[in-house]
Amino acid sequence: MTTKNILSAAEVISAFLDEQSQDKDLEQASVSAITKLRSKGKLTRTNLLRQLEEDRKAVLKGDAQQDKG
Amino acid sequence: MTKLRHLQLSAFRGARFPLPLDFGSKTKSLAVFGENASGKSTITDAIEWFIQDRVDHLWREDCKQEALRHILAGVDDSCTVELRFDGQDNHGAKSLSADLKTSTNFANDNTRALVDALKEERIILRHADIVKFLDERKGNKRKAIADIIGYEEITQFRDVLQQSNNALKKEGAYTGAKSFSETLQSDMVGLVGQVVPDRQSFLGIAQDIVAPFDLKTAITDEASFNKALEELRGLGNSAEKIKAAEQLAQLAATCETLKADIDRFLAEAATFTDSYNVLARERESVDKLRLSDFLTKGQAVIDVDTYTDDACPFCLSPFDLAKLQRDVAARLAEMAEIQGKLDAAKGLKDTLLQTISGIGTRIKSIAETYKDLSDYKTLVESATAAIILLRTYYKGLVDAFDALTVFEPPEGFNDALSAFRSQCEGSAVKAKEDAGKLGLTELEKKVANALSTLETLGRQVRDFERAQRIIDVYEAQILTLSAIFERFVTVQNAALQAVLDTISADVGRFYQKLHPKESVDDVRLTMVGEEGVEFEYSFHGTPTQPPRKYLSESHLNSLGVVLFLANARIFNKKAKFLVLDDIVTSFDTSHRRRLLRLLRDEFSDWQIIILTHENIWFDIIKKEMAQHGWLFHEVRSDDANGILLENSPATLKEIIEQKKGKEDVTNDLRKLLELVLKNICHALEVKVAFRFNDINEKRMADEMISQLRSTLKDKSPDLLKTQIFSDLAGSALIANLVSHDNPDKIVGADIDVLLEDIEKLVALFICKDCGRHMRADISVPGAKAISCKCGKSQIPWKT
Repeated sequence: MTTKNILSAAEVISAFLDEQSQDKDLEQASVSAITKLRSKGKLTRTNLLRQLEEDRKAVLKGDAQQDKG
Repeated sequence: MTKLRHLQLSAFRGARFPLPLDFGSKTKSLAVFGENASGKSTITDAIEWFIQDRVDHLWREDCKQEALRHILAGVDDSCTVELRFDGQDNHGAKSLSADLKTSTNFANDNTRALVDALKEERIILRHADIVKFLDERKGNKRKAIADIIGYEEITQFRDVLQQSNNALKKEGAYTGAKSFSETLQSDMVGLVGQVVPDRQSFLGIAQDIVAPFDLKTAITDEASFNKALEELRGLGNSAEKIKAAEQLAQLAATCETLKADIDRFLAEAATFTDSYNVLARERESVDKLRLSDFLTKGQAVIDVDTYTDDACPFCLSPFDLAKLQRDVAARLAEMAEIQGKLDAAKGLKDTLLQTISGIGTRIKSIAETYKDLSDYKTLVESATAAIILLRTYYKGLVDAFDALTVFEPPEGFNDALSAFRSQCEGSAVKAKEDAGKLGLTELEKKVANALSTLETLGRQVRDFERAQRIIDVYEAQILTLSAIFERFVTVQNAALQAVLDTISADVGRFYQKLHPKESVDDVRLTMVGEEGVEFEYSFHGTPTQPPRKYLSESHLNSLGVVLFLANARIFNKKAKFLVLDDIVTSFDTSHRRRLLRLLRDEFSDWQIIILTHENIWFDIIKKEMAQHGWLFHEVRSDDANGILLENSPATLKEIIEQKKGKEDVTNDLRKLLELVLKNICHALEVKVAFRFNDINEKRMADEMISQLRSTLKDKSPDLLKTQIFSDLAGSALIANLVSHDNPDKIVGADIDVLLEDIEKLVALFICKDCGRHMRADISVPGAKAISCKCGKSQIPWKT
């Protein structure tokens, strides 16, 4: 028996996020926020909430401009 | 992967003087025998201290560095452990000075990196550790398995997803938008009897509202809506009066809404300031939240069983460990409570800011829409002032919360806002009265009412759509995080199960090798619930857990041993050596042999170091493993001189060679000859007289030679003509050997003659290739002969 079937924690998470990034039913900006923060080693509750807030502002700003247009 | 080449300790534990242990360039396996308290575990302790910087069983008992130096070591004596690994310049030394300062020297950075990596690997198994894992609770077992493979990152990842999602659901902007949306829906039902979700639906409702007026224009889009409004205003005698009435009705409605908004705002502001200012006044407590990550990680360090230091792990100050654990737990509980209060205050703040924004929008609409109404000049001026006042309040609130300072409203704010509220209340009454004074006809009143309804509904729909957008953007994130979290729990469990399956495959197989044909089989590790791991096995065909339910102490020990071996083989990345210290205490003889065969078959390319205080076990190891190149040492304690290591011969022949010329070997020669003859007679099924039990073992050499000759006479007469048989038959030496009462000793060249005879006898019946006996039960097909197991050696044999 070898360890070839055993993925490291990093491999498990990376493969999982890759799969989520292909799922069109998910809000991809949030998936991307998680992936980017993790790749920088900065995936914490506070940092993720901040990034999600930025994303929401961008979406709402875009909607408002669309309404004006 | 690496193995050990050389170990040397000095003034360490039981070794007062330099104690070298050489494994050779072939990094051979080793068995060490020593009576209880002879100091053999000094070897294990030395390896553990060198790699781990601690010796767990000592540290647990609060015996630390002071227990490592030999009790008689002088101030200038260096307590040292030197270890040389396989490979070039792969060595290091660790020393402990008289004042208990540790210093470590590695030959190079590669060795340092190697030793760092070895810290995480499974190398040493002591008897006391065997059943430790078995007795862990299910949750701890899961954590232990997860730790082995570094799954802490997975737990952290999952926690971030869960915590972020929970926080998102509680954010004030989201809860405020949901609350506002519900209010608007209720208002719309009150106004037109239904919820109007968007502008397109609004246009449909607008058509229903204007339908009674039989307008020429049907409302289908924005352009037709505006045209219909113009047409509606043109009904009646005076379009101007209708417009004025519509404006006054709107003003009255806006003022009433504003009054209600201000009442809500004052209540929300009071709730917020009451709870928030308590926190702000205890700012020092809130500031401590910055330490929560540090303390959480610290707690993880000091709460594991392996941490036993009575010292703070950060500053190393002396600290009672139990008290430190209690203090840290209490501080974390206190922080969790403060964090809860801070989160609640943030929610209240967000809701309050949302309300202020809503009020600001309405006040601004009063200031801009009604500035031409001279009768309401004071209201418009107050509205302009109120906007500035609310902006100041908003900014002050945000700044105070960010800086965590006590929040006080701007001076005169409450009075000014109360005055503005009264003005709204009065203006609403006045607007209604003024509208009544316009003297509208019934038709004009209906038109004005319809226009006012359309205006109010239009605003509600706009606000509803805006709130809904906020809700939608939040819910997209919340649903995504929820979905990711749920999927990840499945992935996490599958990943862990893959690990368990891998371990289980080896554990089950190894266990089966130790306990074949027993009622316990299919031993494996399995997930229990969401957070647990447990051993499961089939007991008489029925799946059973936990292990202690039916397994004996011996079986539990087997389980502990095979789990260690499986983990080492699967997960060790650097260490290809294992130290097994007194691990077979509760094993019976047959299971000890099976363990050796497991090591021989499954770990043939590993370096195994076995330490034992049991002579019988040591002899079994010698007998089974000498042919595989193992080394054997005996350790004994020489009082003040500390422990000494001596070579331990693996065979009687080696013993005789070692004792020759120094001690009497007559008895050893007799035992060797008897052993050789027993094995030959057994393999050739030589018939001897029946005897009971132990007496059966005590066959004399002459009896066995006689019966062997008798058997060969029938089965292989040509073989009997071999010179060795006549030599043995006529040997005075043999006669000497078989007589226990003979006082004459065999000495000098006679020893060599007898050893040569024994070798010739062995050579006749043992295969040079496979080292096994030719056996009466292995017939050579098509030939009147028998062979050894490999078939390369044969002797004639009549059937």
